Amino acid sequence: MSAEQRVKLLEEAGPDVWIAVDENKGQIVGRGETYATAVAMAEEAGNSDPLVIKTPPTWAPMVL
Amino acid sequence: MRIPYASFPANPAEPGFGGASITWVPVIQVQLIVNHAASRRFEALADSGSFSTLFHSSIGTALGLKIETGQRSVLSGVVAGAEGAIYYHKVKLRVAGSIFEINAGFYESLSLAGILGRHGLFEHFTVTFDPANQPPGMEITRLYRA
Repeated sequence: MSAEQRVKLLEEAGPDVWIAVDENKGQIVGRGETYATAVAMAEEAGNSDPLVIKTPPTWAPMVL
Repeated sequence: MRIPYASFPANPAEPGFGGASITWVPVIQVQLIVNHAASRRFEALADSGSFSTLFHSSIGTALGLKIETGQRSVLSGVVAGAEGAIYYHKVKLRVAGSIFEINAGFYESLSLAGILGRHGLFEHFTVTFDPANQPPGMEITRLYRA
């Protein structure tokens, strides 16, 4: 998945959401308001090894 | 091991991004292990400015942790604002093929899934940030102390 494809994927997911990503297909296979929801949706879709990402609340610079 | 930074959307209207529509972030894929339950791989930010390693409570809860039974502390950052309660638990962290025990904080309003701080990541690895290459990345090497 290229940097541009990944950015497009995250923009489609939106801010402040948990997503499970199939990196080989470059697709979101699960999403939800919690880690567990995103993982469960991925498993229902047959993907037991997704990469889980929590998107930040905004696409603005963050100071932690 | 070289780990490329991950791309994230950037709002070009934000002055801090200087017109860029992509920003590069030093994240590492990790797994959290609680007792015998392991998380799926998730992205956590490598942040040498953070003393502790923190995870979103959502992950700990899914792995069976009773978050509020941990040692309670207060989280504050460099920007003034509301302080939040964090709860520390001993967990195992898998990073770049290594598994080790750490004392990690869990916070229900963490902006990201995880933040890898000085205790948790940087005490176990030398990390060399290399933002000038394309793509930018970091080199991490496991430290083994006698």
